[in-house]
Amino acid sequence: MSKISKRIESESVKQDAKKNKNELPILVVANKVKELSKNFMEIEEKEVESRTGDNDLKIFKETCSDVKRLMTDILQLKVSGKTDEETKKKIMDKRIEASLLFVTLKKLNRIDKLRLKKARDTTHDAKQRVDSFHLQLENLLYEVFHLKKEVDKCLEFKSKDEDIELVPVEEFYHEAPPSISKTELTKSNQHKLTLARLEWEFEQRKRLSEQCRNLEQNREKASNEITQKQKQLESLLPRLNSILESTRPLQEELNLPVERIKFQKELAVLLPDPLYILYSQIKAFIEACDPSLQISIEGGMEDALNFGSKNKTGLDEILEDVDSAESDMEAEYETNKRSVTSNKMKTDWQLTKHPLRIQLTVERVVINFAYLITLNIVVVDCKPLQRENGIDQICIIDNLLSEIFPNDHGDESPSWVNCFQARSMVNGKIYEQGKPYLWAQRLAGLDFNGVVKSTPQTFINTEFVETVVVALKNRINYRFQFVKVLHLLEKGELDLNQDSNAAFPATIYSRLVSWSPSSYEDCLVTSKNLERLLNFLEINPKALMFFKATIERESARLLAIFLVPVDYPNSAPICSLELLWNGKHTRENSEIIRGMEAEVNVSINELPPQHKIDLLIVQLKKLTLHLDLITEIDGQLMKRGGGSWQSQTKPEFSAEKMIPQLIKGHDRKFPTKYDAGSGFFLHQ
Amino acid sequence: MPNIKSFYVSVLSQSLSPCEQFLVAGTNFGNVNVFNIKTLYQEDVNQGPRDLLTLPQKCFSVSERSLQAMASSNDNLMVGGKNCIQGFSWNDVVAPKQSDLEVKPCWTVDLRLPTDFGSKETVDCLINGENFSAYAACGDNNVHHVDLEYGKVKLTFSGHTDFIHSMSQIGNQLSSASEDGTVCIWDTRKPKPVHVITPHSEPKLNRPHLGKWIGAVTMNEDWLVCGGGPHLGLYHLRSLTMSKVLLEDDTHGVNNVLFHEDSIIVGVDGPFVYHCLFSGDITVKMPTSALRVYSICLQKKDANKLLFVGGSGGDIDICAGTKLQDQVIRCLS
Repeated sequence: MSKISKRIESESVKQDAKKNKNELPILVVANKVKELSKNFMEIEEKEVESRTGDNDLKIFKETCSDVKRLMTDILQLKVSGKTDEETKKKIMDKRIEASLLFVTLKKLNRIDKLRLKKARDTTHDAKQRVDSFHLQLENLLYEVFHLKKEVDKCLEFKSKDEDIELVPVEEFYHEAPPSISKTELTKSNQHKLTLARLEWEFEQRKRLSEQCRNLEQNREKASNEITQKQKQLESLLPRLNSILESTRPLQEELNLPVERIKFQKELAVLLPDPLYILYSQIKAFIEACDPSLQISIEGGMEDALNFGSKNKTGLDEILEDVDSAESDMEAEYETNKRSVTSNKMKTDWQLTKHPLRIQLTVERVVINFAYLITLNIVVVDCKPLQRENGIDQICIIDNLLSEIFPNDHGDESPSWVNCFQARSMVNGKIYEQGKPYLWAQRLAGLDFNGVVKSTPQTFINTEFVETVVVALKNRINYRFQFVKVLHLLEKGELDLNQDSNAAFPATIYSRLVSWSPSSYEDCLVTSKNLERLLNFLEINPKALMFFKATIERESARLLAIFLVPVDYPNSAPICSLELLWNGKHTRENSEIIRGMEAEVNVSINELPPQHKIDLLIVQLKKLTLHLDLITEIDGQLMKRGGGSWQSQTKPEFSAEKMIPQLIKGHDRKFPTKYDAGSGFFLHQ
Repeated sequence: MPNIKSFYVSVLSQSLSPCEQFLVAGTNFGNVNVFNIKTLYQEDVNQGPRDLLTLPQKCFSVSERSLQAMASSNDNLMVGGKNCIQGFSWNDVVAPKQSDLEVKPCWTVDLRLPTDFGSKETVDCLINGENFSAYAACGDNNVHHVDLEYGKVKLTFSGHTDFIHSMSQIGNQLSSASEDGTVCIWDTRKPKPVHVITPHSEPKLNRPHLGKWIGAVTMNEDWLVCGGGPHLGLYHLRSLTMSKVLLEDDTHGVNNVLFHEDSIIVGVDGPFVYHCLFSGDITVKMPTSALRVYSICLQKKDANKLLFVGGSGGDIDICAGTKLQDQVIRCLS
């Protein structure tokens, strides 16, 4: 643009130059133009500065009006139509004058342009300046903001010392030495004060940590001492044990329970739950109520310790065995063989006893409680404590624990569960281990989820332990008394105490010649009557002891089978008779024998409690008396034609007894009652 | 376990209520067992357990001694007690059991028997007489004709030397069989026997090993049958001659005998009841539950004509049509 303008300028200058200096050679002119234009431009620039726009506008307006006037003049001249020279000339002059005016216009235009340009430049400069100022301003603002932030940060800064709990100021001044507190300095300056307090805190902490270390060391020392002493004590134990070991013979000799009690306690921990319950219950009862009983745990401690693991492996083996047997189904023979063995193993395994058992000593009988792990029942067996000379051991033990509670024979497992565990085999073999009486299960806390086959009413009693123990004691006491009675009977003695003897005449001729224990089967073979009696009474033969007695008077032999209940003398014995004298007479074919049996079995005299055990003797004595009576009455009836068993002419026995009436009633009964006062034999 | 006592029960006497629907049985323990025969034979109507029907509907004690004698009159059950005859109202006896209500006699007739160690105070046999009277054979070996209305003994028949097992009466004639081996025939108006029969003196009848005692006697207008230790003999009443030995082959003593229609029913001292004809032919030999028969009772009016046989043992056999054992009821004490 500037080039263009320059060219224009140069042209204009050229024109000017042409106008002004037409005659100058071109080169010089060109140079001169160049120079001139250059100068001119500088001049013009200066001119622009010097001149004002208003003036130029005025000039422009004057010029324009001049031009206009000239134009108008020319027009008027031309319109006048004067073609004379003068006019022509006048027009020409006027024309020139106007053209010259154009130069002025041009100049004005140029100056205007320059002025515009100049104004523009100044505006631009100013604008740039403003921009830079603005930028500067923004920078400064940013800096201010940043600084403010920094200030905030600084203000928000937290020092660690704020977390430290310091002693209160008063205390600090009171305790800290002046070297640290520096009272005059710190009183006024909070910062200094804080620093001083921190320093004091630090001092104190150093001191305390020192103290702590000291104490720690003391503790260490003490614990070392303790371990040392412990070691000493530990080394003492084997020595004490060995001492204890060596005192054992002495303990045994002096019957001291010291070690035994300790050992028992250790064993008690190893007991299976049911036995433990049983043990603890009875033990507690003994301590509380009845020190005459003794209870102990028998069995090896090591066995018991080992038992748990061993038992488990045993089970596994069997399971494995069964599994393998099942997998071998194809080889049938093999399987059969195996299953048989596994069955056998199963039963043996089912009857596994826990190695520990509880031994309860009641009076002179030892009762053992053992626990069959798999069947989950407690079995009981018993034996006398020591042999007693001349007394049949079997009589003491046989049936001793049967029917302590009604219907509790211990014949089969009380748990229904066991019914399904190879019943036949199990039930058969349980006896080898003992009998699973219901009361024992109850004592051991086994209720089989309430599915006990039969629950005797007594089991509902809350003081069950006492009930059982009392029942056991009674049973055992009576059994020992009974055994003594049996012993006498075996000798054929029918001795009674004074009171009981008074109910009998002084002389009885019949004698008990034999008394022997027997068995159910044996008695059944001997006497058919017995079966009928047993059927009628619905007694389980297992709740009875069977004895055979023979009573004789000369040729008359009375055979009696005695059924003694296990709970004798609480239940009365029952006899079944057979008289061998001029034929065989029994209940079936003779009302006399039936009457005799009824007299012995039914009318049981109430004996005083201390002589209760003599009931059997009383019954036997009655039999001897009745045999006397029968034989004599029979003789008397023979004489009187009343019908007799004897076929010979003279009665075998003479009438010695005082009998006012031999026979009475449509059933032709013999007298049975002995009136001790008058010595008469009377009908009931 | 049942009481052992019930194993040794003997049924010694029986009696039927006037309606013949109830049977009472007296036992050796002195108890009266009352059975309801009607419900027993109405089994379809009664849905209750049958076992219960065979047991007494009630049982009450009359005396401590065995209950040997019982008889039934129109309103009363007469029971021979200790030195007395007691009368119980049949209404009380057959009433259903009420625990609090004890059966008590409505009257008692004192017999004023001698007390000799208690052995003579018993009533051994009791039969109904006319006009509210009864014949009671007692422990003093005499038969007493007791007027029950006034409670007095009208007449005493004495002649036996031992206790009396059995009596039979027809019109003015009374016969009694005794342990002493005789059968006395009395005129009810005279205290001494009119005739005395001694069967054991008949060689055909005598069984010395069983004894001479006569356990049973019965008679009708023409005939008298008696037996005991000796064989059962059929006597012609007018001539008092033994015309026939009955049951010659039986080895047991005779405890009961009674006429029924054309035949003679005999209970023996063994487990049998016989029915035989006058000719001596045995028509029925029926085994019984009782080991020995002591008491036979017969329904006279009822269409069933039931025969009740009791004895040694608590079981009473009931025979329908008088011949076949049909049911068994049981006394427990």
